[in-house]
Amino acid sequence: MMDGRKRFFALILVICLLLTVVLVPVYANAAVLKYGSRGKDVTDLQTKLKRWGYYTGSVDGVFGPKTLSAVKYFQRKNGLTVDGIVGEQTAAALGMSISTASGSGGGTASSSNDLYLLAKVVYGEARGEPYKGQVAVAAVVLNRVEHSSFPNTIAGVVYQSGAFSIVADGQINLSPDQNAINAARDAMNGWDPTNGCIYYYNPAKSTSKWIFSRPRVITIGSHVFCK
Amino acid sequence: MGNRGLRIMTYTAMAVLSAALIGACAWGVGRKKEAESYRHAAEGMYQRAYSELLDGLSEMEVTLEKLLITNSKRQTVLMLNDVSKLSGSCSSLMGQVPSAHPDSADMNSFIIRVGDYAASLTNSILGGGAISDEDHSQLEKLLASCSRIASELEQSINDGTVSVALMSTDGYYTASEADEAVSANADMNGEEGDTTGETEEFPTLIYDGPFSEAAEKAEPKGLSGEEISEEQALEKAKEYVEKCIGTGISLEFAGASEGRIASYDFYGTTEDGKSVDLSVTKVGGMLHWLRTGSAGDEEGKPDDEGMIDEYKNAAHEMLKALGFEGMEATYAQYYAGSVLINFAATCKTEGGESVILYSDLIKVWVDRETQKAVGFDARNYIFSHTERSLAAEMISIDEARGSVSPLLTVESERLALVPETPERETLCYEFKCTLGEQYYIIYIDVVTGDEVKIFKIIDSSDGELTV
Repeated sequence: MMDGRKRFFALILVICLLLTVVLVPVYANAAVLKYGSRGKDVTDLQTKLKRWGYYTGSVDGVFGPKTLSAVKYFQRKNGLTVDGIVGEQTAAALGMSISTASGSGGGTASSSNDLYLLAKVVYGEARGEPYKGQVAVAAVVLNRVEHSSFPNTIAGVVYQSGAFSIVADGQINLSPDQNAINAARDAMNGWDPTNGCIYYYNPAKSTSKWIFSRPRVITIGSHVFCK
Repeated sequence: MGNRGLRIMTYTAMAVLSAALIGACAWGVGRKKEAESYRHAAEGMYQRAYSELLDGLSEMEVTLEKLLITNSKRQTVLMLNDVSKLSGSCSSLMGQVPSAHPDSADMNSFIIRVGDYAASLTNSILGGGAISDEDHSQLEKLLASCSRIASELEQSINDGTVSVALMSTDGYYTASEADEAVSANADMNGEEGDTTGETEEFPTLIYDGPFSEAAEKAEPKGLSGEEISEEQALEKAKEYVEKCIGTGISLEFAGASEGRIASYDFYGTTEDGKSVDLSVTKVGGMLHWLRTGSAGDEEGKPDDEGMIDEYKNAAHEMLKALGFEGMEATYAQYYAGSVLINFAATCKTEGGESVILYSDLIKVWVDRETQKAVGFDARNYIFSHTERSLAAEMISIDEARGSVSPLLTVESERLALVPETPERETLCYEFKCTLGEQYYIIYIDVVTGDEVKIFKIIDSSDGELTV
């Protein structure tokens, strides 16, 4: 009898704990600074890094390659996770707080902005793929921009309603790794392993009859590319 | 622990649990409200896009109608400019509304091509041409299509049948029933389920512009010779890899690529474990592209400016080994441990002057650590390289220099063949100029003396002109 009650009590405790665990992460969604971010927070970050000798570039409010390597250097020296992203912990170690209004975007229509968006697509859609397959995904986005059936800007293609599942599930907002950035640059600089394709799908995941009817061009990794 | 103690703890736990449940419910209600307000906001944006799209199409319809009856060149140009702008805003709105791609692709093409066609007509009118009978009849067809889609959209908006539901990725690729039948039919007949081209709903436009059907279906001009087999292509691939990367790399077949330049793809691994990928054209067995990794990950321009010559030499060596002579380096970009050098082909005029051909481009990547070529891409070259007959009657370079804005200081000059539209190249004098700190390149037509194009060189941390 006692055992039964104890078990009941333990069960209730576990449920209470589970509820708190489920509820907490929803609110733990802090702002971050990362490659491509702009604004006053980035200026503050660069000023701090420069003062402490981690950063040698100019304080321009743009989170570029030099700021990225300075942040990584800082993280390495201070025993933090070396991911080049200024999240809660890195910000705390730097003694700064990041306002929620900051983040990427907000600048003029610059090519570095487009490049970063393209890298985010590569990371979201193809981070487990071979490098050639990552370049291929970026090339499809660029081929769409130049095709009459699609919007004619990179942002237009990426954010077209329903075009990429990573926009719907939020994976588009993950920070791309260096590989994804390089793949986006290679595609922008003209390497097109898809040979002009405007569609791709994963045969293990896709269900659309229409996409299966498109003429196949080449399979790279787990994606089939078609025109 | 006594019975009483246990009871107190049980009650406490139940109280905590109830509080948590109430909290969770309250939180859930809050989330639902939040989700609903997001849904309303999204629906509002979709509705706005539909309404603005209808406004744009109606305005385009009226402008096309006026275009057909105007008798003034000035009015024609102004109205074509309006059509161009409306096409731009409508195509942007098309990307915002939640409609399935197979259903909306033709309408999207139509809207983009109307603007592209208007721009091409403007260009020809400003160059002294007039609207031909053929153009007139094309404009009539455009008007008919435009007016039809505008009234259909208006009907759907009034009936409330436009879709404002969230578009899923599967939904994006799912055609409405009628189209499914069409594409199934096309499959049975062994035809391509093509989203472009003449359909019942939209006319085919004949014009010269980047989004024209002709441009989208263009065949490569730079290939000659017999179609080769997979085995012959493998031999070619081995030869290219040996010349460019090194010996002892065994290659595997990665697939036949039936894309815009029909090719065979191969892959292999170098002795130090880097992957090598390359593509060889079916016709003539030319190297289409080749890539392998670079050793380092250096970024940005080199501090030592002399290095660019080292990189250029490595790139030239690769080009020479592959049989490309007379290629000229135009600009370089530094990223991910490599330098990418862009080359353009050159040819000679009858008078023996060198002309740079800006359509016939080849890219070569050079590893900054080893100073060896690690990549090659001839896509543009393969698409456009062909024998050209260049204009014989030319104005003098001094005369052309007079057409350059007096605000600019000319730093260097030469002859260049510049792609103006997908089907037309213009022989120009190229003037590299400065205005204060800014660099510009101005192209002056060698026959008419007109300014054809202006480029602004944007100084970035990773790119530079190699002149």
